[in-house]
Amino acid sequence: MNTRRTSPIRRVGVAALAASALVLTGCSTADGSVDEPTSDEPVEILFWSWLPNIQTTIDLFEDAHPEITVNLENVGAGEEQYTKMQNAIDAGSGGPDVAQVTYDSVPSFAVTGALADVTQHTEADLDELFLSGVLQNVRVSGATYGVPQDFGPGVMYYREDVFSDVGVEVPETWDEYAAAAETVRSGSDSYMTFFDGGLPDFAYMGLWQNEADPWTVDDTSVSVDLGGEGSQRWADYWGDLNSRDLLVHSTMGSDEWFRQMGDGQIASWIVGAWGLQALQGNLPDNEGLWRVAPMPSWEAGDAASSQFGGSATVVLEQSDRKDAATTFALWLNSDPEAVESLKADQGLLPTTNAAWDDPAFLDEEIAYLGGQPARQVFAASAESTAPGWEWLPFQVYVSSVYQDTVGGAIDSGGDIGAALLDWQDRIVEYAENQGFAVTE
Amino acid sequence: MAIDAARPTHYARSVRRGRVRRRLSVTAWLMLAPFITVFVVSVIAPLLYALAISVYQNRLVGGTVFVGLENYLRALADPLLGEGVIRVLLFIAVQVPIMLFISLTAALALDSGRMGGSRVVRLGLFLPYAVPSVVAALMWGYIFGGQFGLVGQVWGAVGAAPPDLLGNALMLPSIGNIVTWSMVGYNMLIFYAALRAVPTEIYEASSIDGAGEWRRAWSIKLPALRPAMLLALVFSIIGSLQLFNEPSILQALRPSVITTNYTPNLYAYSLSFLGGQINYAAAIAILMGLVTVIAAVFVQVVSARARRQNR
Repeated sequence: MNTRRTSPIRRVGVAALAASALVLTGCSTADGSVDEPTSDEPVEILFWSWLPNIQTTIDLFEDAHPEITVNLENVGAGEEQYTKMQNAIDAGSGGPDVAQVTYDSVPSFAVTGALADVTQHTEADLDELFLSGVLQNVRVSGATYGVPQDFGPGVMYYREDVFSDVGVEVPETWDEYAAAAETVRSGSDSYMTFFDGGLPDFAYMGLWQNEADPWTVDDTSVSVDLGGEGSQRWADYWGDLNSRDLLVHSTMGSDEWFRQMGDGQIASWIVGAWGLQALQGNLPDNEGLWRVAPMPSWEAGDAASSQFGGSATVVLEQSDRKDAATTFALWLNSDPEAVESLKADQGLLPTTNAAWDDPAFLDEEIAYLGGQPARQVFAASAESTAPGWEWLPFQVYVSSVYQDTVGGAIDSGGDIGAALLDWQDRIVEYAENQGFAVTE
Repeated sequence: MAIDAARPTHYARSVRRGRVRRRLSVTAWLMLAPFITVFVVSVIAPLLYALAISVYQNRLVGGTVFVGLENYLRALADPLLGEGVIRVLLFIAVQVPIMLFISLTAALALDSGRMGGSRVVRLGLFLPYAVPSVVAALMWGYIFGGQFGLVGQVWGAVGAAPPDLLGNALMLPSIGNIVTWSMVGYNMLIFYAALRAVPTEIYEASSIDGAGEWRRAWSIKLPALRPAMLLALVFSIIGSLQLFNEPSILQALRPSVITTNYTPNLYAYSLSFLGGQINYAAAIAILMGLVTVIAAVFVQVVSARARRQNR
């Protein structure tokens, strides 16, 4: 994430990046893939990834595919790597053959023609291999620019102790959630949740769930509409809770925020499934206090969900070993052996159908969550991911100016709906400057 | 004969002198070469590069095109940039006088020789300058924290709600606090060195004339400090126009308060690293450089005129 990003802060940020970078499990296998080089011609490919233990999984690949040697380089996480990748792409050479890229940045590389359509370099059927809710993250205008590695199905983590102290049931709808927020606020020192003026991802989750379609891209034309019903519904809901002082303003991932989470001052956290790793890593003393539940929905029984986080393994168009690169990318994220390694060695949430069909994985009880079989909740969320979400080819910029526009309204308890329109103005201005034909 | 003989001698001498001069100038260039190389590579070349890229625009659709002065015109009309410029000007108007006044008071107190432990005080005041601004901003971010920070704990101990020092209203004063803390010692040292350079005879003469410590500070020390104050003022204005580190670190704590255009330098940074608009960022950097030069020259001209009028 940007880097300096500026994006949410390191500790959580790394978890989010990892989440995206995760593993794919697999049922089917890369062995069926098409364009493999003939085995007597050894090939070397260069792989850029910031997963700290990924070499372990690469070693397994080299055992399975002795004809392909994978050279791993870690040139920095997120934006840091993207800047170097972009430089290599501009220069026409010097880049990796295969690289880890978070979903929100896939379109920005795809739109400039920097990524190869992996379906052109394999016979494997990605639709059969991978969860459909995750595949939409790598699809731009009908082409598939990468293999999904991990993802962050949206869920709600909550403090079971705080909820039972004040006597609220786990909310299933947003109305119940708002009512619970009032009970929590009046019955304790806690807040139902936090509102972070620098966290566009929270808005993305909300808009995605509402199928708000705030923006769409078609080649060189972009349309932006944050005034639509789905977007404004999200804005009105959170603006209302915010103006009634039912939310605490806090920056996700900051020290202060972790303390608030650890002390039970923040009673719930709506986030990608990887939030569990952030909690386990930073708040080990909280073991047994947290639980997971599906993200609340607008209508009871209508389980619409969204995602936060995740990465793809992409193949660069400038590579002259795209077949071998695709073979590796597919194997890494779908071979059963690779998926096991990604789960165990990298701590990633796989994206293959096979992984999620495996009862041992799905039903495992997570001690940190009081023995809850949390992955059932993750799987349900993955399955109910709302369709139609896309990322703009300049999403990093869009995210960076969220704090300038919506962030101010969040801080002041102001009109979030109007702030969304300010955000839209900045996005439109940028898109026009970048040469896109823009419709609002 | 004597004259004839003198002529070639004279001629020869001047030839020799020319050769020496030439040899001297080669030596001089050789000795300057390391400096000039570094200067050209690290100052002139980046400047020319920035100038060159500032007249292009790199678009996601359409690639790189020559746009002439368009980036500059856009910058001049950009309300986001204007907001940042006004913010740093406000910062200069309030923070710089406070900081220089504290530095001046400290330097005069130290120089009066009536303070015990002046070495310790001098070192103590200077120490914050040696703390990297990134570390300082992190430390102050903790101190200012309302929930679990020092301020929050102190206010909590007396049962009051702490002020939000990192909120919209108080963020700029808080940054001013950090910068003052780190720069007071540096400016104090400039003033103190200037005071030490005042000849002791003047003090002796003044005490014979019956001047006390206050009179001496007013009539001798302050006039003697004039050039040093000008220097400190110019440095402070340049530093404030380029405000970046402190807001950039505090941005991680309060992204919604420190917007991407909070200061002109932060804006240029965000434009190039988050928006990929290096060309526009280069134009802004060059404009800000010009503003800095103009501000520095302006301060010098005004103070030179004031001095002339005083005389």
